[in-house]
Amino acid sequence: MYKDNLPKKYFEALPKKIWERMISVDDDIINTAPNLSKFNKHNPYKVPEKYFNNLKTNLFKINNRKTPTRVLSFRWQYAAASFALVLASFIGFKSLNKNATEDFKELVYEDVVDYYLLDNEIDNSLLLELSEDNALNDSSDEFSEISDEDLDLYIDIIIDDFTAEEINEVI
Amino acid sequence: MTELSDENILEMLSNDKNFDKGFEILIKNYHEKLYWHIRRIVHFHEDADDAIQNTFIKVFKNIKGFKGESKLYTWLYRIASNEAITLLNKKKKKNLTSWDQEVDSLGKQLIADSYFDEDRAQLVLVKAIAQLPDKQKIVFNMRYYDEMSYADISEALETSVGALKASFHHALKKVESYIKEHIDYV
Repeated sequence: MYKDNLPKKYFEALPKKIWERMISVDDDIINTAPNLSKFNKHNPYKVPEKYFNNLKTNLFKINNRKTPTRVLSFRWQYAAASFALVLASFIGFKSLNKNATEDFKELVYEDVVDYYLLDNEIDNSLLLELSEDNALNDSSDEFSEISDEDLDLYIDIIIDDFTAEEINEVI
Repeated sequence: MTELSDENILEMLSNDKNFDKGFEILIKNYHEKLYWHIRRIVHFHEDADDAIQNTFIKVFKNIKGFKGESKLYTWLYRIASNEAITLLNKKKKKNLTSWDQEVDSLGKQLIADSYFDEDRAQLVLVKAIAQLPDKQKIVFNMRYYDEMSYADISEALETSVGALKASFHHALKKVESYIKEHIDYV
């Protein structure tokens, strides 16, 4: 029964694999880098408590989504919220319908693009991360390649973090 | 419970009825390994967290097109490596600093990072690896930490075994030289 769960010819290939690892990695290191060979392979990096359990749970959700998107980390949520505040301040002079979030979205759209193009300080990573194309094409990290849909999604994420009351407060 | 092999996982993924379960097992088997692989390249937890999520999203989107021309695990390492490099490139575009400033700044940030051990020798080693060009860094990590065979690294990075051996050898020399220069008690 256990055999079914192993790669084909696993045991036949195992001694060669072990031998290759024992000989070549250690020999290379001892001969070429004697000081490095004195280091133990201790992992100096740490993760938050229960991180891997939470990660696993979040990753399982990918499977349940029609179009998978990443779970925004706290840092991105913070960045989105901060950016929304800056945006709202920037366009504060516009007269807006105070109770209509949808109207707000429409009005801010052009301003988002203008603001973004004017101010390179704005972190473009969130936009890039949201880009569907970016998930499939590593070379698409140019602002010019971010589609209107991605910008819409970006604005949605920013604005969805706010209640209508909060938006009204800011503007 | 015995960990299911990559072949078993691929078999489950090829069948719509078992796809969900297969994808869950793939995540269970690989989320930690790939996280650590990415973390050693990008150094910071939040960056690694972003990159690991992107990695699995890509895996999800492309797994049905996986034709088994390489091993599943080397394919996963390839995607994770690309995600890590993409993230590093984005950061580099923002910080146009020289190489030594970059390594110096990394050291300071790691000292301040609560998710990094305050071990001076390890910090020197991390900085020694950080000075390597990105691809050489990945080769070094796969060989030194993950102890992958050259054949598997070759599959993952689509680079010839000869080039990888030379790359690892150069990396070792550079790391050794940095350690000698920056540490006095190893």
